[in-house]
Amino acid sequence: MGLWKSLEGAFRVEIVSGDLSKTLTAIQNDNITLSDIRFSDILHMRASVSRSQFSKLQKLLQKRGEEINLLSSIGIYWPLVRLHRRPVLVIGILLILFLAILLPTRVLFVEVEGNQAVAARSILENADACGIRFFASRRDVRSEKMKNALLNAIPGLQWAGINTKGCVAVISVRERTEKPEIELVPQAGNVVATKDGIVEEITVLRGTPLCKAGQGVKKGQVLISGYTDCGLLIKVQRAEGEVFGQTFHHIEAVTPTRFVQRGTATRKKRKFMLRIGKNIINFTKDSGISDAECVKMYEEEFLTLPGGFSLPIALITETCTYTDFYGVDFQNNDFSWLELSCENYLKSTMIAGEVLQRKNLGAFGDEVYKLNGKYACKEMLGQIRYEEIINHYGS
Amino acid sequence: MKKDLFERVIMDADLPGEVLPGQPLVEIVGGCRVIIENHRGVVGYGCSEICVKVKDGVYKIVGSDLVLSRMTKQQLVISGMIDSVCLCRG
Repeated sequence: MGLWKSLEGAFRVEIVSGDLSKTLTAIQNDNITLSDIRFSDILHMRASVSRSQFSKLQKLLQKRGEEINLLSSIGIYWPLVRLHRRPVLVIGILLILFLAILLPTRVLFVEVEGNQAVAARSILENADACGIRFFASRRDVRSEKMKNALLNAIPGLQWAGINTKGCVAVISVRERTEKPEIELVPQAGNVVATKDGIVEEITVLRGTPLCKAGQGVKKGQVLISGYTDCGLLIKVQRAEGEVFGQTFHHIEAVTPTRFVQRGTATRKKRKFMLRIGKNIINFTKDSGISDAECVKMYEEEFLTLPGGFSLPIALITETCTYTDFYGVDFQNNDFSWLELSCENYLKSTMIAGEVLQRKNLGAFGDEVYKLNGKYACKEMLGQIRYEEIINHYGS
Repeated sequence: MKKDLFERVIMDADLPGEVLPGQPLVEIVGGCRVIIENHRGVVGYGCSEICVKVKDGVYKIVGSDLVLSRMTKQQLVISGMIDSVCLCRG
């Protein structure tokens, strides 16, 4: 069956007649065209007749008292008729065909590879500015244009290029490797005292010691000098050494005797939002500013395709948990934690050292607890201070 | 009488016989298809033999798996393995 015959539609029929030759003669005299005629036996014959001539053939054979049985419908016409009765399916098929033609010519996903220090977001924003964005035409993706735009906009990039793999545009970048800066350490320096104290130990590795064990020193006093008098000249060098001494500290700390604690959750409130690209659609009426007693949890679920690609569409769920607050007193007025905090603070101010003796005195005031602590410590006193180098012009 | 005269003129003028109206024309294509024009109906049928009536007699087509591929008032197409085509005058 040819294409046009198939488009016209045909029926496969079985004709039962006592004299098939006369039947055939009558059919041809009535200008009815039969095709693919097969004789089953002396009484039965199968043939194909076009849709337009079927009723004519049926009438002729009924008039002649012969039997005609419809076996099947053949041709493309009949599936097309069935499709015509299902417009949604037809529209769906046409839409899929349209998308199958259109989508390969468009960029649906943009990925960035090769970046570590430079944020992918800034690269994507600059790429967007030069036309590489969602649903951009693949023909408009010009590697040279994008490279120039990116290198001008982001100084941290050394090279950039773009490749398209199907619907994915991959921006490959190479970052500029910064040369490590050579630290210029001044050659002249003294070891000076960081705090007031009494020197206990002194170890000089380089330079001239200007103090000795048992001597009291003031903050900023030079302990080891970098200048050594060699008679005819003065040798300038960076002093090195360790000076340990005894120091005394006084710390005063105040804390309230009652505090507020968060209790159990009373109720939860959920808000849903939809993120499409950079835009967020809020489904709730209020502004989204929650109360102070609310604990907010923010979850964002991006829609992903089976291939693992994330679409720029996300469902945002914001859960606010409301809790009660109640006042709590310190149990048994135990303020040992405050003493520990004071001691830890003191240690954090030391370069190296330890607390030798402590004397804490606590007193209750107007809903407060006041702690007076006196500490005797052994700690590192010396700290290097570099000399300022001034050139000939004084700059 | 008129037709005989017309036929004689055609033959004398050495013209092709197809120009005569109603003259049966048989074409065999590659041993698998026989096209008969200006037929007068099928008088015998079967898978191995089909007899077609024409003006001068009956054409007997013998072969295997014979099928009437197409049948109109003017033309008849027989497909299958054609062994022989003979004209039985009568």
